[in-house]
Amino acid sequence: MKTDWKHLQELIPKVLAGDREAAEEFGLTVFAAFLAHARRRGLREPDDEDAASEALVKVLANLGKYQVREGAGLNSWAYRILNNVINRKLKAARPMVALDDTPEASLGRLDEPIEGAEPSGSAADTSRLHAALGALPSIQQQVLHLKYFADDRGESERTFAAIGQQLGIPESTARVYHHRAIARLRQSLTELDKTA
Amino acid sequence: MNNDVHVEEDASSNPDGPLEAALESAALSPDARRAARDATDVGFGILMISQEVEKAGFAGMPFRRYIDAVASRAKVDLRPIMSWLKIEKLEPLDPDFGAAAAELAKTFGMSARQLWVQTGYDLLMSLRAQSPAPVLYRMVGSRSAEVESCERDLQGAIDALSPGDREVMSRLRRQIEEGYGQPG
Repeated sequence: MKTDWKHLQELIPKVLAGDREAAEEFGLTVFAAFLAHARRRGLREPDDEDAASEALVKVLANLGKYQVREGAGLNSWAYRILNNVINRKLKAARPMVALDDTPEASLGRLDEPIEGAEPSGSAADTSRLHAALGALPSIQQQVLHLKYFADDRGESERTFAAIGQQLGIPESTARVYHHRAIARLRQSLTELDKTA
Repeated sequence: MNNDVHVEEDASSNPDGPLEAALESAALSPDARRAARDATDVGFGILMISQEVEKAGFAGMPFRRYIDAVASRAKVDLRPIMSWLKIEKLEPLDPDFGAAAAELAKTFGMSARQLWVQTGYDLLMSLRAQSPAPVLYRMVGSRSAEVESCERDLQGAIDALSPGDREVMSRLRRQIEEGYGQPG
């Protein structure tokens, strides 16, 4: 089931009033949600727990300000804090390549044919593609998913700005993840073609 | 994509109560659970102390005594918070006293001006090895007026120090300003 953010929101007045038991329930539930999200964003031990801990401390410490400033959307506010922590950790772990000035049209795309590969669309090809996709880091998979497969608003394709907003990362970072994912897929599939 | 996070069990169906449900549904490892409790202790402690600081406002007294008093009123142990902030000690004569105090005070939402007066008292007491004069505790109307009055008292006491001790007080002030990102 989904984390019950509505219930967590109801706990806030108790936490603010000093109810330690309510704080523990709030903390454990939010930590679990944060930990899962940190792992989905590609953090591994111990960075995942560090990020979840740091974000939870910030959320609890600023809970009074949340009520005043936000009024609604506890999960949006909490995940914004978490994403800032995660982004900082990811940035520290791996400097990003600047692709801001690269036109989107000149970047690689998932639906472009791979040079030297025979297009067939067979079940075996689909299986190979899935395997190659599955080997990508989680964050790259998420970017590709949002770019090409998660069109739930009738749009032809999501922009990097929209993807960045969705994942809580800068537009330029979404571009970088997309670029790396495409390059990696090309390499994986080309190698598979050679060995087939 | 929705930001909601999926967990493994329906917490609302757990008969043992919401806390147990949260524990189970989170499916956290023992280490992760410990990390969650530690973070909760720290975050909740900061929240409680910040609320007390907001209620108490400025008080013309040494910083360490003030912090101990608000922590006691909030029923919070300061040690996990200090440890989280990587503050090993809060000794006025320690060369990093100002930096450590600034980190702690910022966390609790205190102003740099309040901190300067209060840590000034701490350091002054240590340098002179004596208690602050009773004048430091007087109330003179508004909080702003009280801060101003205490600042004047502090400055008067600093002016009477030896050049070496005045330099120690200046270092404290610089560290507080740096801690709050203010120009020196």
